[in-house]
Amino acid sequence: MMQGTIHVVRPGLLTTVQDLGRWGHQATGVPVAGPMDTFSHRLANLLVGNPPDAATLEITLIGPELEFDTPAMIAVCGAEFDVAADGQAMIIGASYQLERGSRVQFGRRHTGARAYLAVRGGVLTPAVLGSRATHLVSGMGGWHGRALVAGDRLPMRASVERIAARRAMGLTLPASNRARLRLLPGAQADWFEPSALQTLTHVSFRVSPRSNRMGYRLAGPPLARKRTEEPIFRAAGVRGSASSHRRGADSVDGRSTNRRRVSENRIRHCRGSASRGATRTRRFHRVRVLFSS
Amino acid sequence: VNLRWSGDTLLLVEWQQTIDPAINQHAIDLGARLQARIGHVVRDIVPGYCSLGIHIDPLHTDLGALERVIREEERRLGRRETSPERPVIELAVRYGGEEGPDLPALAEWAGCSVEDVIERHASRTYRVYMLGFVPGFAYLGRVDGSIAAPRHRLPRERVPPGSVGIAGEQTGVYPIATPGGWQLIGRTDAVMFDSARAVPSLLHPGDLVRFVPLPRSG
Repeated sequence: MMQGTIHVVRPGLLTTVQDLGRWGHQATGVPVAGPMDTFSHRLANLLVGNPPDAATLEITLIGPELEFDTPAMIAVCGAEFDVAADGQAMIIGASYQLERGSRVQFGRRHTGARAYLAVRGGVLTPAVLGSRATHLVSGMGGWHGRALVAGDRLPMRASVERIAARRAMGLTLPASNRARLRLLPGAQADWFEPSALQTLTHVSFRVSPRSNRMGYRLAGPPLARKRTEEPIFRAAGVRGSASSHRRGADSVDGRSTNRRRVSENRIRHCRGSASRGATRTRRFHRVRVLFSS
Repeated sequence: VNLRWSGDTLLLVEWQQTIDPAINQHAIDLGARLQARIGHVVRDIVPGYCSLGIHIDPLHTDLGALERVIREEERRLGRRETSPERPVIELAVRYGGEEGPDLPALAEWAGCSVEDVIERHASRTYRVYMLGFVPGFAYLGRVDGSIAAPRHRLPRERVPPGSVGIAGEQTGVYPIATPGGWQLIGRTDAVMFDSARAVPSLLHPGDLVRFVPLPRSG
């Protein structure tokens, strides 16, 4: 295996290394982390022939400029950015073979918030507790536990063998300013009046700028509660939960962990589409539970 | 025992909603048994105060079999209050001063002296009910009701690592600098979590903890 390097010329707004997450350690409080848009992360990996848990770069709102010091095969999926390799425009959702010394520049963003850049063989930053995913709050994983900065040199696997370029036809989800999120009733759904679910599924919520990788804050009408006390008993939480806080701010948790106050309505939603459109509205859409036992 | 799905990837096993060492131990013990039996086919097993969360991939899990295994193992469990052979872990704490900025106000809230607060906090052996929030953050209980002040309405933007806090009947140590709303009464130098250690987390569910006051210099 030949080692290659991704040289970060410009880091972009918030570029982090992510894989499918740090599972298996939540009992000691370790958050899972991982991509905000798992679908696009997986798709980017698929396009370069990687397993789904290979580490990619998660790119947020403003993209980076990167230089590859060996031949590399890359793909970008998710938000629609103008991306160019050595001045040649690249298509989102397709793989490209780069020559040694190629420069990849992200330009204007058209729709969506987050894009994923996969490189064949994966980004090979050191794994921490079995995962390369960056968790910013605890400074764990990724590249020194933080977002990339100019001058970083990330290890990757050089891909010298040529494989056919691939393109995702019709697989990318629409990234309009309005997202429809599918949901299932959560563990605390019965803490709310039935009208709360009506509100949730009939009103559009606006994503507040006070959102981050931990959660989207959604502004909208309050969700009527049956029980008003604050439960004290923490329990495991699930990523993609819709939570209603007493302070009035509703949120969708992009991240998992068991840290969550259990005052909430737990609903899993299609997290990917939440990540793709960053700044506009969210509409919830109820789906049926498909479990059988 | 009650099984309840939270979305399509998390199955919550729930017992009576109360803070009870025996119930908590029951959750921890079931977690350990399930880890041994099905740990390799689920994503994560996470004890809560009186619950156990089991994270699964719904596309790769036989949900009926999962529920059957859980009920089967649950029935086999005995009832006990602590794990066997758990020594008490001691955490040396410098109470008050800049490192415990909320101590005077907490004493006032409790209607006692600062020394009384320290004595009441340090005289108990606490149980680690669960961990969460950030790596190594343990929820310890129960705090003496007379000093169980509620968390701040507005959290601090940055709580230094090692800070010892109280939030109602819970106490705990912030492993890393994070925002936080707990009443800060002191600080410890103990390293609560280090991913490079063979056992990264200092504390685990079911552990027993005591705070030992250090004499303040000056």
